[in-house]
Amino acid sequence: MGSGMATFTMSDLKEYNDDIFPEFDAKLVSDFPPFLYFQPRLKFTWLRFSFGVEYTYLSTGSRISAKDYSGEYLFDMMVHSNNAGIVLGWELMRQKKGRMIAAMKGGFAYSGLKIKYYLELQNSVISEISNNLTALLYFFEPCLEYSYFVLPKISLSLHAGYYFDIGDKPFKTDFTLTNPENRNGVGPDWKGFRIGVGLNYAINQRL
Amino acid sequence: MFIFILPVIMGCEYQTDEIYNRKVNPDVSPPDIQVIDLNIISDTLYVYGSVTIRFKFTAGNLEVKKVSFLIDGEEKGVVFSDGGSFNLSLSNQRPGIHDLSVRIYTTTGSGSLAEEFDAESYTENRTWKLVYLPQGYNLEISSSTEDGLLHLHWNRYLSSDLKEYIVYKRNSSFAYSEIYRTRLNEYIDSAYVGEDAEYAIKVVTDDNPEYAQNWFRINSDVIQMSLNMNSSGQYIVNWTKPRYYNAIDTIILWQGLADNSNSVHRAMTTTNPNDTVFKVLSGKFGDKMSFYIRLVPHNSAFENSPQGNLLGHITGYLGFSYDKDENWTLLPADNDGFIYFDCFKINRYSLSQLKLISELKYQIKNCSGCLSSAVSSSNTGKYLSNFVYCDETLLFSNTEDLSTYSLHNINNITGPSYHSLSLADNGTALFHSSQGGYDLYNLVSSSRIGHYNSDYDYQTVQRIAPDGSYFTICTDSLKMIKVSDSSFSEMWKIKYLKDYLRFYEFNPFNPDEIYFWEGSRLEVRSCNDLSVISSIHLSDLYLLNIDYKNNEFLSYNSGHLLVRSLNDGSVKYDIPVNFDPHYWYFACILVNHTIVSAKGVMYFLQ
Repeated sequence: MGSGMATFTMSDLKEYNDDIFPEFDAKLVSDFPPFLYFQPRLKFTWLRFSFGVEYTYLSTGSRISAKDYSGEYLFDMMVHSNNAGIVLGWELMRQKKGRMIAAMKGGFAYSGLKIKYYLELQNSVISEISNNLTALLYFFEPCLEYSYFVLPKISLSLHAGYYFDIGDKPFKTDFTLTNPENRNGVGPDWKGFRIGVGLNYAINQRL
Repeated sequence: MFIFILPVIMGCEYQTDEIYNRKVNPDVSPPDIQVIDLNIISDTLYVYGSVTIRFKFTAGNLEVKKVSFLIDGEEKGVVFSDGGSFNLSLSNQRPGIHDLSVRIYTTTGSGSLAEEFDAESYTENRTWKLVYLPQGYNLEISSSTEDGLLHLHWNRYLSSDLKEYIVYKRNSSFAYSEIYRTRLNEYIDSAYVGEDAEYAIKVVTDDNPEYAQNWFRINSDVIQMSLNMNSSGQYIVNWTKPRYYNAIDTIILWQGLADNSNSVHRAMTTTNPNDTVFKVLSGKFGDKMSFYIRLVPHNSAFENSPQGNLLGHITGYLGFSYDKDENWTLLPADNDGFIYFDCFKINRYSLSQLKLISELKYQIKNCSGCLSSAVSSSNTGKYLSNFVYCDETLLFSNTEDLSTYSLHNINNITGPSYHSLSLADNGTALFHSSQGGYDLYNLVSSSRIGHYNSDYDYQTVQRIAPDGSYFTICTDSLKMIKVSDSSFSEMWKIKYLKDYLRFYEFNPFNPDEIYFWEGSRLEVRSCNDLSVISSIHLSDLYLLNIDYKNNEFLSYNSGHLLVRSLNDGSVKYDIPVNFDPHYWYFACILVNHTIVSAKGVMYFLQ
C-alpha cells in the first residue's frame, strides 16, 4: 500500500480556465495543485525480477471564485483518475535489509471530470450547473523504489517517478469538452512527478 | 482488503473550499440621470401605428446599461445602450390613451457581482401619456393671409419621431424646388404676391424621409380693377389693395390700347401697396384701353421675378361707365336719360340719378330670336315700341317705367311681317300697312286712327310729329301729310333724294317745325309750307342727334365729337375720339349735356 504526492500538468484544463475566465474581478483560487495519490498493489518477486499489478487513485482540481455581498460565482473543475496497470521491476542493488529497484509501470487511466458552475445573486441561485465527463488514456511511469525491511515480513519503501500520459483523448459525456477559443478537445493531463512512501507486507518472502 | 481500502481512498479526493472575496463598495449614491437626446418633447406622445423613439442618456460617472420601454407597465422592448433608437409598435394596443414609461437602468458603481450580471442597478422611470391614433396621419394643407403674407398651414404630425417638414414650391419650369425646412406646421411665403402657385409639403420622420406628402394649389388672387371717370372728368383706374401686400416689392401698372399691343407702356410704378388709384393721363373718350397690374415680389431664394406677376387686368372704354357690357343700341329717353338695349333686355338709365331705374327682360319660351330687334322711341323718348318676332306682337311701354308695358297684336294691320314704325310722343304709331300705304294706330288707347294710301318703299324713312298731327314719307320724294281726325291731307311734296337728306326729324317740342340737314346747313322749316324758319351752317361729317331741350346737338368731324349750339352751330365742346360714331357699335347720342356711347360709357359735358 502506497501513497504520495503527485504533481499534474493539466495543460488543457488550465487553458480552458484561462479562456472562460470571467471579465469581472474573480480569482483562480485553485489551479490543479499537487495532491495525494493512493496506490495499493500486489507484487511478485523472483530472484531480482519483480512483477505486479497496481491501482492508483489521483485527484486534483481548480476553482475560479468571486464573492461579495451581492452574490457568489464559482467555476469548479474537479478531476480524478482511476489507474490500473502492471509493474515490472529489476533489483539494482541489494543490501542486508534494503533493496533498490528500478521499475516501469504502465496501464490505463480512466479519468473523471466534474464541472460545476454556480451563480448566486441577491440571495437567489441564478444558475447551478454540473457536468460529469470521462476520458480514457494510457500511461507509463518509470520510477525508482527503495525498500527497507523493518520486520522480517514488513518493509517500508520510498518511491519516485515521473508519470506520462499516452494518447490525447478529450473528456466526453453526451458532448465533448472543447476549448471555446480554439475548439480543440480538452482532456486530462496527469503528467507529473510522483513521490511517495509505501508499507509492504511480504506474504511468502523473508529477509 | 483492497475492497475495504478503496472507499477510503476515494473519500480522500481533492476538494477545495477556497473563496475569493471581492472588494466592493455597497454604499453608493443614486446617479443623476441627464437627458442628452430624447425626441419626446411634450407630456403627451401621439403615435400613429408605430413610432421610433430616439434617446441618449448619461448618468454621471455611472454607466447606463439599458433602457426599457413599457406601455401600461408591460415591457415592449429593451435597448442595451445609453443611446439609440427604439421602434415602438402599437399595432396590438387598443386605440386611445396609454401610459408610456422609459426605464433607465444604470450601474450602481458598487462593482458587485450583481452589478456585473445586471442584477443590481439603479433605475429611473420617465413617464408620458401616450395617445394611440391607429387611423394614421393624413396631411392636409390650407392657407390664410395674415399681415399681408401668405401663410401655409398643415395639420401637425403629432408623433415624436417627426424630424422636419420640407416645403416645396413649383417653379416656372413646373418642377418642385425645396424652399424651406421646419419643425413647425406653418410656412410663411414672404415672396408670394398672389400668383398661381403650387406647394408640396413632405413629412420627414426619423426613419422615413417621405412619411407623408401632399400638394396644395393656390389659384391666383386676381386684383379687382375698375375703370371709370370721376366728377372732374378724369379717367380713373382703381384696384383693390393686393392681399399679399407685404410680399410686394413693386407694383407696376401697364397701359395700352386694347387692340394695339404696341401701345402698351408702363404707366405707373410704386412700391407702396396702398397706392390703388391711377389717373389716366393719355387716352380719349371711348378708347378701349387695357390696364395690367404686375406685382414684383421681394427677392427670394426661390425664384426672382423682376417682371412681376400679372395679377390684375381690365379692359374698358374710357368714360363714365353706365354698363359693363358694350355694343348697346341707344335712344334718348324723355331728356333725363336714355334707353339702351340688347337682345333680351331693355334698360332705362337716369342721368339725374346716374343709375339704371328700370329694365325689362322679355323672353319667350322656345324663342331664340332677339327681343329687341326693332325698337323705336317716340320724339322725346317718352314711349318706346318693340316688335317681338317670336309671338308677332308689338311691345309698347312708357320709358319711365318699363314694367308698364303692353302687348298689341297688329297682324291685322301689318300682316305677319313687320318692318318699322314711327312713334309719336302721344302714343300714335305710323305703320306700313299690309294693304299698302300707312296706318295710324294709337297704342295708348289701342285704337286705329286711319289709313293713308301711298306708294310703298321698303327703304322709306318716315317720321311723325310728337302730337301725331303730321307725318312724312320719304321715298324718291319727301311728302308731308297732315292728320286731322281720321283724314289725311298732303301739305307739300319735294323731290328730294334721300341720300342727300342726311338728317331730318320733327321738333319734339314744336310739332309745326321740322329739322333738315343735307350736309352743309341745318335748317328749321315750317311743317305747313316748308318755309325756312332758321338756318345754321353745319358741314361736319355726321349730325348724330339733337338735344332740343338743351338747345344743342352732337356732331362728328375728323376724330372729334362736337357739341354745338343749336342757335348758331358754334362748338361748345370738342371731345377728341379715336372712333367713328357713324358705325352703330360706336354710336353716340347727346342727352342732357352728356354724351352717351354705345360702348357703355358716358362723357359729362358739365
